Amino acid sequence: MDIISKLLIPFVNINLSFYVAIGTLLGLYIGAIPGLSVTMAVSLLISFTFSWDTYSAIALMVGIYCGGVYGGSRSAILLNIPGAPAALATTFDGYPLAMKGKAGKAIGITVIQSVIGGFIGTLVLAIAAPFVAKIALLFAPRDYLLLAIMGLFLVGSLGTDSPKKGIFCASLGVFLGLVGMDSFTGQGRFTYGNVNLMGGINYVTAMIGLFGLSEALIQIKDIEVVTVKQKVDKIIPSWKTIIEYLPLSIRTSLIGVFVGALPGTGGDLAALMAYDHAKRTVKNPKVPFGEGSIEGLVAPESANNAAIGGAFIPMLTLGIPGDAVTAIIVGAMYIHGLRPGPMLMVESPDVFWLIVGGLILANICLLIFGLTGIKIFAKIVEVPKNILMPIIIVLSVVGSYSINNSVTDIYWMIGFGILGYFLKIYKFSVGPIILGIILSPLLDKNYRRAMITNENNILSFFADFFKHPITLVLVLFILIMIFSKCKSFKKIKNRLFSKD
Amino acid sequence: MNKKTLPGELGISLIFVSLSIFIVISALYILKADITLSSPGAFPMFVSMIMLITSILIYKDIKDNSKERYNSSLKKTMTLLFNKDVLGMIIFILIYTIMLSIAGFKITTLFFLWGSMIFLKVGNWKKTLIISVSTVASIILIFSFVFKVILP
Repeated sequence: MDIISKLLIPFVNINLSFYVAIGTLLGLYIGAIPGLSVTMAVSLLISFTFSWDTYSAIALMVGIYCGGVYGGSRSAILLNIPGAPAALATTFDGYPLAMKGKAGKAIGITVIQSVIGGFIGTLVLAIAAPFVAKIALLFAPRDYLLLAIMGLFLVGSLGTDSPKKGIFCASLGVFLGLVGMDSFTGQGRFTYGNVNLMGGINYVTAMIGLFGLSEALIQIKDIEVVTVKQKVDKIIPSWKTIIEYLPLSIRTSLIGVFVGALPGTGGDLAALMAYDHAKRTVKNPKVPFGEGSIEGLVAPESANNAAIGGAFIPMLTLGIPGDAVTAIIVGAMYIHGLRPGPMLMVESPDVFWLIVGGLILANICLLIFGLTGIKIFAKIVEVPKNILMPIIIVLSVVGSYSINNSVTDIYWMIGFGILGYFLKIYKFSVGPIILGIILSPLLDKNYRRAMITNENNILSFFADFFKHPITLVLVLFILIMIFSKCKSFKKIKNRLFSKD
Repeated sequence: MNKKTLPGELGISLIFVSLSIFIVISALYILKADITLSSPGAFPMFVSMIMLITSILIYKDIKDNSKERYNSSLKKTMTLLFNKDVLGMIIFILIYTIMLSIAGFKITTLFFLWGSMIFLKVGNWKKTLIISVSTVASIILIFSFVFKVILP
């Protein structure tokens, strides 16, 4: 009963309900605008809410987090520009659906799936937080390395017809992520004596350029192509549709929770893994993946919102943030005199249940706010390109400037935009570059930690693959992923499963 | 299977091979200071080798699979990549970025939007001016007042 009364705090306290609702609404629009990020919004909030009471500050942050992760899918569907890295996988099928005139349908599905994923993530947080945290603690540096490699293989093979081009782009992204100061030794890598490069390349700038500006240039190149009229009836999916995809939603939500619970990973990796899972398990989709498949929307959207609940698990139970946003929320909690970690459940259990209750309320608000205004949003795609594209370019400039208030970032964004334009013309996928930049620090640090643990002995490093079950499972996944792309494997598979 | 290459496709793959070689050499410079598996240069070396191998394979694929291997000319490549609209917009964007520091956000953005839309043939100059003014006003309202973001 005590737990239930704590869980209901955001529902019965009008102020807290208001903060969660307003946070969700703001987060939805922040996430939808490329260049504004949830991380940035939550970090701004720390200064705003410094003098507020703890509950109100946390309620607002939880709302923005929940709304913002979903919001990224809006621009992914309508403009092929993910509002956040977690919406990268949504572009694969969301944008093709919009190009078929079904943007409203796509947005409706993503809202429902985000809410389903959000509820499942919150449920796991409420029930299994300590248990999931224990498993997450078993992951060694080599396991994080393998997980990041798996993420890169996934994105290298998804959204492109050439795995070689995908892996090239992923490794280019990893290289770009290495530019700057080495976190272990402080020396500059690939800086060529330029002080401006010591800070590294910001992935948000790269994302705005590679997706925002490059897409604007591609659209301008084909400016004669008539904009597609959007069909905005039947926005809310029927119960039959929701039930049809429910087994996939549940599976991918659980993938999202688990990946989100691993510190340092987040919704972006969760969404890609979920998309790959859908591709592997759904044998005969009504529409092929990459051409507007509903399963291609269900999987990443349920996973990235479920990852929110997952990210809170290590944050609240161990004091280790699950992703960048929870890292900022940890900071906010310290400012308000709280100590996230094993003692939080003992000293301040009301905060744990406030977050759980806040997430439930935020998902309810997301359902309401997400399904309203879709017609207006869908009409964005119908705005003539010669009006829309200059506006997108201005938003890209504003977004890249807002990261560090530096004009240098705008020039970086333009450079990435022109690079992305060339890559798209020659059928290279730009998604792997972004994920490579994001995962590069995770790969580098965990590789070196694994090597240091094994005293630079490569044989010992590989021997560990067979001694630890988690590592062995990850290695097997990666090998299956690699071999399933080989022509000889496909021949064997066809022979084995042929009816003749 | 033979397929037609796009103009400049072989060239761009060669650029990627050259870039990868340059990155491998840069990684070697980092590695030579400390040749251990956990050194700052080890992982960059590994990544740069993957870049080099995949870029060579991509180049080989394009060269082997293409029927019209020598279809490309510089003129065809430039026509594919830079039509009048794209080239014009890139120049506008660069001028816009330079002028931001000189003339400020409001005036520069207004002229950029208005000029771009006229260049891209929106039509009536009054209509484009109204759209540009309302866009700048909306951006200032949303970003400066609501989200408290500092504009350029």
